Amino acid sequence: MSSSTATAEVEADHGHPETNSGISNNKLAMWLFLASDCLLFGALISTFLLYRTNISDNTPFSSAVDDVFDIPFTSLSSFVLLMSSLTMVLALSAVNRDDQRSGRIWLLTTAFLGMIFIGGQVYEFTVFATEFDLGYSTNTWTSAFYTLTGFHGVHVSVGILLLLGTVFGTRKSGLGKEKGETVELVGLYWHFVDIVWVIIFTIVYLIPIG
Amino acid sequence: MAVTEPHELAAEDEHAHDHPSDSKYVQIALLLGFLTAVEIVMFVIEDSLGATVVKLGLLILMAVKFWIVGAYFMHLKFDSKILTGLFVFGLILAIIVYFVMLSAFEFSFWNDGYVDPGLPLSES
Repeated sequence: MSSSTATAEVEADHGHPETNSGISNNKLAMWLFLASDCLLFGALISTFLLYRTNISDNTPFSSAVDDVFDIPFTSLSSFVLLMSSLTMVLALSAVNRDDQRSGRIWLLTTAFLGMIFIGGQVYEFTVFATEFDLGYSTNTWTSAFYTLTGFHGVHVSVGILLLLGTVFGTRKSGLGKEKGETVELVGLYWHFVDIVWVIIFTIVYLIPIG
Repeated sequence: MAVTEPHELAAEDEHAHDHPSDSKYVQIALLLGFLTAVEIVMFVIEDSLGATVVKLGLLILMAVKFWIVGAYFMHLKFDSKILTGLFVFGLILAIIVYFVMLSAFEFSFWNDGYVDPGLPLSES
């Protein structure tokens, strides 16, 4: 058997060219990116934690931080994002079964749930700015809060673009089993965004100050 | 030292594709939703449980949710251990970043009166 035939067989079996580790280079690169992104969010969460207990008395947060947050609303947003992780794995599962129609529907549902989450974040920021007069530079607490949650929002937005790009970019070529790895990579990014929110929701919104 | 040969890693990857069924994924998502509900209940009844218990409980629930999403939705439980190693390495580095920042603020900046994070930016 020629080496090119063997390589083609391995590629057909795994969905990617043969590598020494047995892991696709694209997948390895995505995991490396996610590992490095941990550092970005690690720094942002660290900054927030350092500032959250040092709130001046002259800001509304000092007396009633829990009143500023709308926990039921944010809980609903968190639930929406968690459920988008479910629709993402269902999309991958459908694509791996070569069920293109279901794959597209689940990917679009995931993007839609992501948009709902982003809409919620925009609403929350607007309420903070208009009702509580909390701008980005009101104090270092608000700066840390907006930077952390804003960066997460940007990640979700990029994820939505990736999902829509996957759906509409494969209209001609099809979203068959051979695209399984592409969907898996988008899914990894989406789930990462989800687990970062799991941390942010607990640390920023739920854990009591002091 | 034992060295893992490339073909062994490839073999490991070959057996690493037994992902859960769709119904299993739904069950996992429901479990995640339930854990989120427990978190919110803990937040609501904070006064009766006590701040320390609530903090500890919320951190444990956060870690469990993190692990569930990573293990099942991101397939770390079923994929090559190399990927788990990469991700854990990133997480450990992130935790180190936190402690380095904490040390820097605790032992340097605040003690020198360099920055008061509580002041509005215009006054600091």
